[in-house]
Amino acid sequence: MDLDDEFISDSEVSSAHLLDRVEHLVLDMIQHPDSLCIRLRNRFEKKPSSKPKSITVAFPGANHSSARRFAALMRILDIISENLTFSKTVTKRDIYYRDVALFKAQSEVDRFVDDIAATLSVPRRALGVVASRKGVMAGFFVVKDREGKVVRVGAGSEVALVPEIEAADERIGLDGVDYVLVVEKEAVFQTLVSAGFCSRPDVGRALLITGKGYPDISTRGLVHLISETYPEIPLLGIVDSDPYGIHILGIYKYGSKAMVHEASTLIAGRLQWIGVRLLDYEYESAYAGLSKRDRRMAMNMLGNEWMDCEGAKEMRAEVQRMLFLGRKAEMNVVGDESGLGISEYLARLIRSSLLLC
Amino acid sequence: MSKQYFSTGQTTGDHPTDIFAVATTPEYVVTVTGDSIIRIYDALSPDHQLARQIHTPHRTGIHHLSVSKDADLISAVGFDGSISLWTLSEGKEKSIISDTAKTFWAVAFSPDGIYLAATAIDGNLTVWDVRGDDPEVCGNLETKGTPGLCIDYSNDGRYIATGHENGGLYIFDTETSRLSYSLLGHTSAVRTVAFSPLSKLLAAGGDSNVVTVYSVKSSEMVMLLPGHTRWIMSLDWNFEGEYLLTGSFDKSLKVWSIDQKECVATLTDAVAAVWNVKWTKTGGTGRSQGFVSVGADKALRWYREATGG
Repeated sequence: MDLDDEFISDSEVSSAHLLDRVEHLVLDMIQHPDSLCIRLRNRFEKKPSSKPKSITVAFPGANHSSARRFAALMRILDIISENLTFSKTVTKRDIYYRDVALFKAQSEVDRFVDDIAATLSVPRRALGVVASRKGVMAGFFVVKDREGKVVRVGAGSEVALVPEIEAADERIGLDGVDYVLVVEKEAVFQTLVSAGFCSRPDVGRALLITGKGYPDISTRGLVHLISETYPEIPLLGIVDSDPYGIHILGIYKYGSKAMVHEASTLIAGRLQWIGVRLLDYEYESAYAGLSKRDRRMAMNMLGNEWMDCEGAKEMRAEVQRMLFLGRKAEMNVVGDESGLGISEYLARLIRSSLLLC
Repeated sequence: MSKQYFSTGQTTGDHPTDIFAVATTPEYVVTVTGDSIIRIYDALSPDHQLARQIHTPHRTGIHHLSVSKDADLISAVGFDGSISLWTLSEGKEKSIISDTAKTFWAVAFSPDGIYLAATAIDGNLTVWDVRGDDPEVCGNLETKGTPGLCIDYSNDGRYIATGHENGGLYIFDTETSRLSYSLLGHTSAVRTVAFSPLSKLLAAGGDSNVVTVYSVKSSEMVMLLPGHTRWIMSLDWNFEGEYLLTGSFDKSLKVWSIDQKECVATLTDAVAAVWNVKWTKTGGTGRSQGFVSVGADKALRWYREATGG
């Protein structure tokens, strides 16, 4: 199990409680509606000798800039509560990109996030915010810089961070790649990479990418770029057989509501959901019951506009099947009990997908 | 002794996704699927023509269905958790039952079509009088709180049975509005229940892969029918109560003889999980008995008993 998975299951227990505390920050504030004010612990003052200092963000304030700061803080609290509600993880950069006009600088986002974590006395990760790029890739690729100089070459089994295509103006080359596979979970990505899946002669040469759950901006940017720049290379996606898996694939393919302004540079319309299909698990113990949250998520998702797109038809039917059966499953347990496992299952699935592409 | 059934055709291409439920009357076969349309087929025409379609407001798809010929009503339950009522003959909207706090799941009409009973994800059972323009709640019964996946109304109108996610299987008495029995035997989801035509037996199936048959009078299990290798999704008694038809996640249909207490026919035409099966109600029309099956392969399959052989 990778760290991210562990983290998610830990936070599962306390996220409701944390959400409660985040909401209380705001609720306490609106007790005094004529002067809204939030006091945050300032994380910079940690000398044991001095008492922890605090900063106050208030509205109305002295000037325009303090009003903007207040709005920025409210927006970050909003994003954090969204993270806690949907078990999402975002990078600090993701938050900044959600509203570049509001957040004046990346550093302001960073500071507020850390102050909120300090105020609630929890690690920043518990708020669903991580510092750096999450996405990794492996397989066959070449990363070049602005001048066309090769900066990195993928060799099949080495895992590399996804390139900073936007910021660092890097380019990716995929010559000789037969297909690109986006994998929801890092654990499965690792299993596939160490099994040499990127260069299986019976499937083809691959580039594997994982956003480790909900993808960050860099990962989505990369998948978008592949979708646009290499229209001839099949772009396949494999996710858990649960509402969140389908939602994550939907984010890559159609974008997230929160990032509408960025959508055109982040969506990968060509990404094709190939599984794991809920009906493909060959033994009953692979299935788990839908939680209330899963059900709510699935029902809401069916009402989303993107689910009516032609390219989402199969995903919509899959969400209906989950609700109909009241079941979900994790992709790593697919394959029959004889131990064929996800590698063989995927090899078969990808071979038939490539024939259809 | 085994029985012979043969396929008399399949309707493909009409349904965009899985067909989640099918209901039959002497004249019609009605289906619901992942879109918002109720499709009504002519059961008597040799090529099973699509007779009518009803466009419902369940835009997220429909998963359960009940039809009452006597009351001329169709009831459909959508993934949105609401129930809609339509006239069978003309497809006119009668009413919509929705409650933001509840997700309704499975429905059954009383045999006279006066009442509609529904399970919900919260585990409770609601009964409405649907004679007037607006359905009137006339009963609310609580169970232990796990989703009610299936429901049936007995032909004599006295009982309602519900099956639940945690293996709960209950018989309610409609006269006293009380729980009569909690039936034992299932420890995992009960996905289908059906009273025999004379209301003396109750059959149930689900994630334990076996069919259990109980005496309604004593609540004792009188029969255990193993044979399916995966979840039993649906079961139905034939007109005379001699045979049980089952459809399973294992993609097969089975016909069980109640006399012989064994499987007398297995059909393996479906290429994916079977979600729902029903005998066609053509008993008394001089036709041999048949049935229909629907499922994840989007096909509506028609079968008839081989006679004179």
